[in-house]
Amino acid sequence: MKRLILFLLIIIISGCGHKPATSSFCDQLPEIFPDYTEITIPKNISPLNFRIKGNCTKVYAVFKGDKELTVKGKNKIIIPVGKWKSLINKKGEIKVTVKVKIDGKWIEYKPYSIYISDDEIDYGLCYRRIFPGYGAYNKMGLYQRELATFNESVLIENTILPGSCINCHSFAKGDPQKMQFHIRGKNGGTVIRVGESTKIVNLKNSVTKSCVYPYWHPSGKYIVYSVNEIKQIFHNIPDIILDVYDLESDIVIYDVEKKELILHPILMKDTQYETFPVFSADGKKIFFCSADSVKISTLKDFTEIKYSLCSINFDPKTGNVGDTITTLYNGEGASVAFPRPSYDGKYIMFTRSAYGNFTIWHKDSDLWILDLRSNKIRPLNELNSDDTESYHSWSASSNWVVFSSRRNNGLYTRPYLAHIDSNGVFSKPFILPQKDPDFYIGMLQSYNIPEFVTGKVDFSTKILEQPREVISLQQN
Amino acid sequence: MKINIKKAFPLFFGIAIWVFFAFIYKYHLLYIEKMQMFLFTKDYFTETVRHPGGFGDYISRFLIQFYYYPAIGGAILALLLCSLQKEIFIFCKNINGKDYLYPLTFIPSFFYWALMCNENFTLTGLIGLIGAIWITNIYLRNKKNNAVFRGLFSFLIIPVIWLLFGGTAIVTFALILIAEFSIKKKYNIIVSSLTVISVIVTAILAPSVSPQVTNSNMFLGGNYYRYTNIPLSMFVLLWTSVVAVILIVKYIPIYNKKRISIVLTVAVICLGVCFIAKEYNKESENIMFYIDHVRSRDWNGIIKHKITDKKPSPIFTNSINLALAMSKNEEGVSLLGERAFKYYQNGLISLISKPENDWVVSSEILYNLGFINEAQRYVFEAMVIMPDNQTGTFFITRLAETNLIAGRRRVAEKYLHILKNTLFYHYWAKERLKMSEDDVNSDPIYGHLRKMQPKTDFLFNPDEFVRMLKIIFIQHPDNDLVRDYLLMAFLLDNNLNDFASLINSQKTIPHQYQEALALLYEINSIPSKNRFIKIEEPITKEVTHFIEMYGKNSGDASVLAKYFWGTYCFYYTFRY
Repeated sequence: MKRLILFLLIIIISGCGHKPATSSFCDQLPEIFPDYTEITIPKNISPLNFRIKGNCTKVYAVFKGDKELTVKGKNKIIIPVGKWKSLINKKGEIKVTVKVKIDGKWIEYKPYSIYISDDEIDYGLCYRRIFPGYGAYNKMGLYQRELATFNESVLIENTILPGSCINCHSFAKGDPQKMQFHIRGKNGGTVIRVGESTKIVNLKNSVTKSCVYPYWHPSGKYIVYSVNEIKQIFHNIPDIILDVYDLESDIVIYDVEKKELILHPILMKDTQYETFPVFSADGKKIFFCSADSVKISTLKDFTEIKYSLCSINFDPKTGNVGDTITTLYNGEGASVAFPRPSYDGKYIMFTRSAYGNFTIWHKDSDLWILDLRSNKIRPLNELNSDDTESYHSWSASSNWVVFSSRRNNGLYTRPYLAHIDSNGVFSKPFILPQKDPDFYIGMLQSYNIPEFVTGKVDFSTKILEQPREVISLQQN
Repeated sequence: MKINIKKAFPLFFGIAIWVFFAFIYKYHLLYIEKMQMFLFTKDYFTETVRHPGGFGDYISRFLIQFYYYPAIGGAILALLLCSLQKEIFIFCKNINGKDYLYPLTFIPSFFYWALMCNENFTLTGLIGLIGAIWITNIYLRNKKNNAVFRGLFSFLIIPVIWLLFGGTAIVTFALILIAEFSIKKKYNIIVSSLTVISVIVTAILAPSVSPQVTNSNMFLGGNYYRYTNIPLSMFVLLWTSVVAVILIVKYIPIYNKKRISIVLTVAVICLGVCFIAKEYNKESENIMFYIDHVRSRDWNGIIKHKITDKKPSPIFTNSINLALAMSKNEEGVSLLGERAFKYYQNGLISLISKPENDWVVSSEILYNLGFINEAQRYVFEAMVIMPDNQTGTFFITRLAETNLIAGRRRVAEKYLHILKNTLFYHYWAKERLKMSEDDVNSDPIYGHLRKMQPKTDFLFNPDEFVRMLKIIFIQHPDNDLVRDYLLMAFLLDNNLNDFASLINSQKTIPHQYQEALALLYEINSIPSKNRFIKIEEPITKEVTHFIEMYGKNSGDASVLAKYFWGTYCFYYTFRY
């Protein structure tokens, strides 16, 4: 009996380390989901678990860098977190060899590389999860995800304020100590945290529409908002479902310390839709998008709304803006949205689509970049797909970007990460890793406004019990 | 023959529940089943159980998927309600309650039966209640009178029950106190104090476990009620009834024991029937009937269904009109034109309701008309506004179909892959995943609707439904259903001129369309020889007769209704 047990143990142990014999070689890269082939990753990213597309009975993967890691599975490769961390803990290249067992035979695919960058990525991402729907909404919330692990935690869900909508979260250069988001609905307000102090302010006033898209000044002293009246329209052909446009939009500046909303007529023209304002990296300019206002009476009128990328000077000491608006890029017959300057001052990334500004619903929406040093503008072909690429944000070091893409199925937005090198070239983007590679198949919510955060966001819902603070207006 | 009440009552009780839910109230079960989607996946499990009461939710949803077959659903409800009664009875027995007061143990089950008539009360509360009492029975059955064991058990079980089942932990708390003071007795004050402390500690720690919900939701934990504004008082009343029954059975002295069981049985049954009668919602059951039949395209079933309301709600007329429009008689003539006005009609709202009043049946109407994007929008909105944040199979199956029809294959596949993880939609999803584009094109429903989709874009406005019909009709003049809806829209709006201009291209004209034309000719005094469409003689005579009677009775609607209600002439003149 003892001998039998020993014999069985030997068989089992030898089976564990047994490398399958290859029956044939395939000169193509393995078809895996998500596609993690030939990508550049940071040293602090969670394991890149994947699944083999198509039918197979077993899969075997070898990750070879400074160390070697072997993982087996039925049709998925689930990499142990600890071993993964020690594999990617320094700059280098990992060669991945995948073997797949189909009809009793092992097929070995062409190895692919994963490049480990020295540039670390921020602590995590903060995003909203929401159904990719129309007007109505149900459960939604703000969540944060630690990039080095698979841990996702809730910041706030609207179940705590039934019927409310939570949106437009924003951080000053990813700093969790400087954040804001809106709560719409009964007992709504804008939550603004600066350091230890968190307040809920009521930004509503008698002069402007609701404050919508926010962006922090690098000093944390100001937040620039667009104020928009937004409307949805519903298309009736298969290629496009929905559009969103502004009936009105302007730009205002909120002085966080003085609790004062500063209105500048130059940014509130009736003849223009001004929106998506952002501060430059040095805080001395406001970049924004602007379009001639159009009277909408037919479907064609929507396609006439085209935004340009503009800038205006900003004085952080006084909160005043300059007298002149400069057009940096007129879209060349297309429309610009979501400008996002890198924090190192080198670039502005933006989206470009045929018309309008709510690019998430435009299949043709792509990422473009303006090099502020050379003023060269180009499409980010290395990041774009045949489907929508939309909202994007930079890591604090400006070495990484995260952007929203619908390339998986055309409807559900997923966050993709990519590295930018010193020459301004981006690496192949990869989807945010999940513990189960099939996670995104079952996920019926979209990832909305993915933002990098440099540390864990600590947020207590007890803040919601605070009274809403009233603000003052300064009209120039 | 002596009837053993303890054997007969539960048996008949269970059969009665089964019959009620499997046959009388079956559309409620079918509706409830479709408003959720139970997935056999790890993510679904972790997502469901991770909040307090989540385990109860998981069991509840697992069982609800079997409502797919109302006979099984009815059996599940019978089993659960009988189990509730049995656990209460066992508890009473364990605390030496009076045997002849046995019928009282049915009261909470009757109460819950009545609550189950409202689709917003979920099984979670019932399962939680059974669980809470069952755990206490285990505690009672334990022969150890060891105070340490009792203290530990009662201290730990409260948070465990709350985490597993939610607010029914409070029932466990009450029952432990009853058990301590009625049976255990030794060190019962210490044990009871520990139980009280456990409740307080659980209440203090609850916000940190469940910080993202309102206070009442946190207390209840599980999804006992589909809306966030939970009728807490209803649950308090229900749980109080459990405790009250137990206390009565234990402590109330009864002197005439012989007849009391029979009297109580009759009284409890009468009380139960009153509860159920109060909560039984015939209108709601009818609406769910129509939702079920419209989705399953059982047009005949809709047409045959008897409506007792003289002025039924728009959902009824929307469903009937769709069923009539989708059905033809032996001559291939649309039943909508044949007999629409034999049913109650009330203007344009009879064709389609405003989205704020109904997304569900309206979505079906738009789907069949070829407004695929709009049908998708309506069904998506209906899904999103579901009060308990569930994504029901009713919606996901339709979203898969609209995306398949529109050629948005990758999105359709996403939904179909999700549905493969269900029990009763797995095969349905698998069949559709196999469909190639050619298969979709040649499918009698999908292929037809794909062809009938709008060719050129326009913006849909639900407030201008007739204009929307005109737009799509211009793009698809071969869309007979749209034509029928347009014709009906004109008739409902008393717009006989536009009706007549559209009717020209008809080959065989249905009865009531002919009637409308005849009426138009009479109103405009068009002589027979100038009538561009020939009307059948009996129809012409009918219209003429109406006009004569109208004159004779000075336009008295109540007199004319006796002879002409159900004709277009009557609708045109008086509306319904």
